[in-house]
Amino acid sequence: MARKDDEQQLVDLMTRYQQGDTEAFTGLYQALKAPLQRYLWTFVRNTTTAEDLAQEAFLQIHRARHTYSSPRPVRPWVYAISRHVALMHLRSRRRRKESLAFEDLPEVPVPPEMDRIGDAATVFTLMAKLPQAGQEVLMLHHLLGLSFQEVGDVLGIAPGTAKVRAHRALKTLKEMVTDQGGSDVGANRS
Amino acid sequence: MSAPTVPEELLRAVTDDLQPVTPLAPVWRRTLWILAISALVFAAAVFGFGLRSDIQNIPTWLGWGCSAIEFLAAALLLGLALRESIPGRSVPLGSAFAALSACIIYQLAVGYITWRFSPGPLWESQTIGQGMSCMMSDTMLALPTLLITIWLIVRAFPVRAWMAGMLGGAGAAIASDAITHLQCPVSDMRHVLVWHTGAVVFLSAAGALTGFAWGRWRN
Repeated sequence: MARKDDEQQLVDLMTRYQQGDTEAFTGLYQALKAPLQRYLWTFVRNTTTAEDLAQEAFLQIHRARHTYSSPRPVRPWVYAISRHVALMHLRSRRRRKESLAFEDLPEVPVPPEMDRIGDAATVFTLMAKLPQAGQEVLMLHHLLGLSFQEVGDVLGIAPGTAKVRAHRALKTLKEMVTDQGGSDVGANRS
Repeated sequence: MSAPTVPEELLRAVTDDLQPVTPLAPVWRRTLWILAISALVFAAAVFGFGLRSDIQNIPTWLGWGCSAIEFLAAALLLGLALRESIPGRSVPLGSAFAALSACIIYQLAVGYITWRFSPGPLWESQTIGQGMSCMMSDTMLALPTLLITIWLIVRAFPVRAWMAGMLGGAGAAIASDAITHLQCPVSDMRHVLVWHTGAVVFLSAAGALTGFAWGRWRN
């Protein structure tokens, strides 16, 4: 229910933004900056770069704002543009993945199924070891709450493929936690 | 946790250019615009160059009927191209190639059935020049459709411009093939495969390259 309300709020903000309302842009920024930065971090593994990319993503969102059609969900549209920004960044700079400075990233709520695996630090450290495709699906579906249909729309894959990737990535993540003795961490938390 | 403030530089860049914008028309409506213009070009081609000499040997369902279905298949590809050009509405790669392959198989199947009804001139009697003229005709007929589609793709924000271009090129080529099916009297499978399917592959590749080059230029 809360997710639906949030989405409706984003749709309203986006519609007002298209009509030229600055406050609506500020509202969108405040609602989306943290999750966007988290998502972008999976590409660059660096907090500062992820923050820079988030700004660049908001600029591209501004340029592409006419391509959003209400009442479609806003977040797949936003993540698709941000993904494009991240891929362009990686392509142009051919940057190597840098240090795992996730501590400084803005907090996003960790859903219960991820929380059960381990604490946020463990989850993010181990997620970084997964293949990029798995990481992206985990981040979009399990951490940022997009449906598999929406994940498919962002990544250009079928929803079923997204589901399979998420399942495999989650399984690998759980195995890694077990190998690390991370299950104890999860047990302590619950 | 306090709400993040918008960096001044970003806010300035946005407010300096914060004109109200009109959202893009739905994909189906923009596809209809393309189809309307294509239909005009194709009608002019039919009136200008006439129909194939053996049209009376071909049943209506196979001639006009199959052409109409091919035109609808082209509409599907053009719609996918326009959909692909909107962020967050990416077409799965497998679906795109499945649609393209299905259209090519349909084109070949129609060519084969037409050959069964009216074999027309033999492949051996055809020169390369004649084949090339078929391919050129396909390409020239597809060009207006392709240009409009590319323009509509570029007006959106394709994150995989090559893919949108490829689907647009394929859609334009399949649409023009719907008309050349009614104009080209050679139904030999080798002719259809080399020159007409060749035109579809060529235009798909041209669309993909155009999209790719535009994407690189934009970034």
